[in-house]
Amino acid sequence: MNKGSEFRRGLSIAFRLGTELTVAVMIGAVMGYALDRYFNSKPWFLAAGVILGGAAGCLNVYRVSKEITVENDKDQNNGV
Amino acid sequence: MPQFEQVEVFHSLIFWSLISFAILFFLLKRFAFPPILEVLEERENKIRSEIGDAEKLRQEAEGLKADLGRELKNAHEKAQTIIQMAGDESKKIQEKSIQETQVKVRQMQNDAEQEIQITRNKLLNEIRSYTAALTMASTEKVIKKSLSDDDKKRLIDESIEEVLREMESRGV
Amino acid sequence: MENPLHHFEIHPIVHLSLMGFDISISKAVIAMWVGLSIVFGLFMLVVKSGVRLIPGKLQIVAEISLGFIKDMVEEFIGEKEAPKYFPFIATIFFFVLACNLIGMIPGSYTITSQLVVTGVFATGIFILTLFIGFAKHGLHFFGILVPPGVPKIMIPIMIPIEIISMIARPVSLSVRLFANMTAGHTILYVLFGLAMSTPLMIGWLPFGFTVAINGLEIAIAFIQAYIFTILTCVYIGDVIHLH
Repeated sequence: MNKGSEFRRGLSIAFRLGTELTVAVMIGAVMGYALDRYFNSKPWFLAAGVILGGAAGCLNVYRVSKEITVENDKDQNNGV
Repeated sequence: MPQFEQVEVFHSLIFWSLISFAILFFLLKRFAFPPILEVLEERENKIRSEIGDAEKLRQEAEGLKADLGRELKNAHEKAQTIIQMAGDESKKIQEKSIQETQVKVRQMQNDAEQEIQITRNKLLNEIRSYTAALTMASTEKVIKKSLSDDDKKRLIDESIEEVLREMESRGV
Repeated sequence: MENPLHHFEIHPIVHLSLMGFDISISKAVIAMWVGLSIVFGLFMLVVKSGVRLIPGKLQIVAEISLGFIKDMVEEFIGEKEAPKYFPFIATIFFFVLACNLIGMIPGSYTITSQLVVTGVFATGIFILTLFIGFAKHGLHFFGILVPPGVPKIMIPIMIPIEIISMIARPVSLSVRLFANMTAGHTILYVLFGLAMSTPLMIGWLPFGFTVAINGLEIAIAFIQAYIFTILTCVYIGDVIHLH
């Protein structure tokens, strides 16, 4: 893998991570809000949704970072 | 934000973007991608085979190089032995000539010494004979007065005889 | 100064309707067509002038971009399945790239700055991944909701989290593209408005910024197209390999 493609990969990961976390929280919130409306149980589902959404966002970020380490390992193995 | 508020244009945007995407997809899949991908593949194969060929050539060249190196080394060794031999030969010749010269010189020396010896002997003999004659003559003169005529005659004869014999023996 | 978001409004040019739906052709649609025609035209130029083993300049560009996408597809989806998905993913890349870039021309329109459009594509890709997942693994596909190595007690919590993170994928995919394109164009618009409305003595400053940000926007157009494509690959690859 050459340097240019490494740079692009890094850039794409940087651009991904920001939205990854926010969007997950947003989705959790929206889903919780919808469930609250349906069951008329404000604000429990919303709160749970935000927490689960945050967890999901963290999970996504964690997966992306694992992807990076796997890539690095692969590169190092290839390099040596 | 008009992107959220202008709901009335959503249908048209969705419709046309999907249609356009589908058309682009089929057109590219049909006409554009296959030839380009094919040429990519072809080039990859070509490069691969050429790299293989190059590798083979490289190995061959390496073999040739090793051969050449070996030959060069042989030639070098041969040249070295030739030089060695020539050096030995020249040394031998040199030694021989020195020996010969030495022998010659020694012989010349011997010859010269011999000649000197001979000459010296000759001279010594000559001197001895002259001295003898002289001594005899002087002795004769001293003795002449005291001897009788008969004795005189006999002694003179003897002396003459002696000198003659001497001279004869010397070949003078 | 007028509302900087004003220029994202869409005004129909040719009024059309199909089965009761308004499908009028607007500036956005025309700009998209121009962009896509340029892409297709360039490809046809390469193909019609004859692809050769020793490529011309345009052919090199086409080959590099296709080779790049090919490597990406092979890396994330796997070499065996790659040829099946390559045309689709390459088309996504060129579609997004053309739409992003055509918007850089002043007076045209970036259709990817419409959330509905990016949303439709992201949803389409999401549904496609679900479809592929069920076709490939049947009911085992639900296993994607439970990551490997999770203790049994955690499963009731993990399933909602995984559902949210699954849904977050198309949403973040579409929101990212939409937000980047909208923000870039809005900044350009505001700066350009500043440059026009101030006297020349100060006006050159925002104008210089406009030029600089224009360059940045072109880079972002490429990066966003790249991210959209690579994430499509990642998502499809995920459902094919299932952990």
